[in-house]
Amino acid sequence: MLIIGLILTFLTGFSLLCFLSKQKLSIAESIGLSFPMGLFQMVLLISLSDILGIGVHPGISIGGGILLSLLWIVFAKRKKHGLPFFAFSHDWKSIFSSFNLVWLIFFIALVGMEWMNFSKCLYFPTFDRDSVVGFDTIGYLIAQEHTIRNLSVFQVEVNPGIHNPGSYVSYAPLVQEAYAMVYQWGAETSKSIPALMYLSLLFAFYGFMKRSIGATGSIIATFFMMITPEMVSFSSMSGTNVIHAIYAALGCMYGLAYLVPALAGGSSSKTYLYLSAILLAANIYTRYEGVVFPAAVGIFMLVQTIRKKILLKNFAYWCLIIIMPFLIWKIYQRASGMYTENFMIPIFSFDEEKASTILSAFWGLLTNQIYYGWTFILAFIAFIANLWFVIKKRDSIIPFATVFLSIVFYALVLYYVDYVWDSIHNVLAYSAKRFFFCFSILAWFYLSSVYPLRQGLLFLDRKLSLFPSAKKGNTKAKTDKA
Amino acid sequence: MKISTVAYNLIGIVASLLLLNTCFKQQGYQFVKNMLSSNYEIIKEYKGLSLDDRFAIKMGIGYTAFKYVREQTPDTAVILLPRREDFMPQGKKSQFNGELYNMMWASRFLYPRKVVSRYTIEQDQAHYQPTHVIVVNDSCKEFLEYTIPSYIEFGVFPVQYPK
Repeated sequence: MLIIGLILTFLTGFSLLCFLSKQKLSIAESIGLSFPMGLFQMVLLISLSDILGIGVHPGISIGGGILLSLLWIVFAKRKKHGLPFFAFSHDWKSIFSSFNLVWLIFFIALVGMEWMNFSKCLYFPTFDRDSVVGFDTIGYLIAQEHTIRNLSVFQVEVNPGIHNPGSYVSYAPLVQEAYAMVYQWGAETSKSIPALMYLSLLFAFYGFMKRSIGATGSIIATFFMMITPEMVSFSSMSGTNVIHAIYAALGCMYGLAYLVPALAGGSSSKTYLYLSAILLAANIYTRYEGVVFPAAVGIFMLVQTIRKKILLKNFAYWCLIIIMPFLIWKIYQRASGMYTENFMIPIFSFDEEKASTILSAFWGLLTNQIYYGWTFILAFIAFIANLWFVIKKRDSIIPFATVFLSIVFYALVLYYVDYVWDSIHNVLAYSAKRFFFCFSILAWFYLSSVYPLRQGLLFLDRKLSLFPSAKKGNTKAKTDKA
Repeated sequence: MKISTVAYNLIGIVASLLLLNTCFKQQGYQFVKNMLSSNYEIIKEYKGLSLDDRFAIKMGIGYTAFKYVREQTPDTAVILLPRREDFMPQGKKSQFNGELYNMMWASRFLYPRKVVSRYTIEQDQAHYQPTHVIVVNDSCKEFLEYTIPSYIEFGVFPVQYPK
């Protein structure tokens, strides 16, 4: 049943994409986004089932998945978006036009590294501390006891410290529920989820970047993004950070593609707006501090709404889709006794020492080449190299500002949390490096899309193309102001 | 196909290989390459291992100890879990790794058996009365209703003497 369940998860996401996409997405993007989108929907089904008191059962996820898939396909057909299989038939020609030997080398390197990473993820069971005392165990117990709110380890009689600050009882539910689902489908470990999520990221990132920087640049960016040292080592564990980074970064990228059409190959679409909203909703449903990402993108959405470049209705839908699942689950957690004592400091307090500790730790992380390789150094160089185009063409201001603002907001979240169960020094020394995975993906997105590099990579793509005749102007119209 | 395109591709290949070579000399990326290839070697060498064995590779004696508890107790057992200092006495090198004293950790590997911590028993807050006790480094013996041999490094015993 595990294989059926995973395929169904993919199909649920894929059929939603067919409903949303109006054939705007490439094959790689569709493949890459299907599993994460499907997983979020399946998890929402499980949450709803628990809220309604039905409980968490494999029949709910399988039956609900089938129903959802059929529903989206019917809706897609009604809107004449085309049936799933034909949805991206237009994309086949561009696959062959992209082919060149540099692309092939990086493709082989990417496949080789991901093959080893995927095998590692599936072979070794969950062993990292945070998963064994948290996410994986909670998922395992939900699968056995068919409930979230009445989980034995969430009862104060069984676990007296359950309402202490920092307890797992108040965590966002996506990862735990996803693990519960695969355990109920008969999985030995929860590792199929992180393995498929990381693989999906590679497809989605490649497909997205290809539209703005061409296939060669995209495969190079995807390769370097994939081998970000600390992120690739955590991608095969059962923690929340990499899964969160995938939802957060892709959500921001599609939000920015809606705001800045050049980032999506020159054309904007409401598809990107809705994709961004769903992915950012999933990001908060994975880790609550993920709210910093829609906050950063939301500022620019709001500005464009005030400038009447975005319809107020669209902005309102975007906000609503992001906030609704989070809000409903938060109310349900509170009403079901799944809460902890308050661990936030007052909003107007100022602790200079804590603030400077966080700032210096963040700077240390941004410049750490062992954790993130060349990622942030190259992003910084790209920023400097692009300064002229920032002034002259106002290029890539919004993407840079979004990444920068989300880092600032993340620092603020850390500042306002009162780490009574740990010290801020421990959090910054051991956990904060994992918070930066979102920024690693976004940094590769930013640095590959700045004007000089974007033009250079498109030029490279044209010069290297072994089958240029198959190309139908897919590298034109990509010089719009960003 | 133009000759210039072939030439660009050949130059591109050399540049790509140089870039990859430089990349994997960088400390972070070198770690990735070594970590992935060494794990892949293990996977190829120990392809047919059971889930228990794969857990043991990563978690060592900590997992094996709980596997032993699982084998020695019925599914309905309520197991008293020793404290951290029982597993890892101060000043002594402990053979155990992982957080065996953690309720969540123990629940993952002992389920459907229930787990109660020594702390809750001592505070008289325990929801369940233990049926079995994990004795580690000779501690927790006092919870048994009978005496056992002088020094026990690790074992699990029923609270009442088995008839």
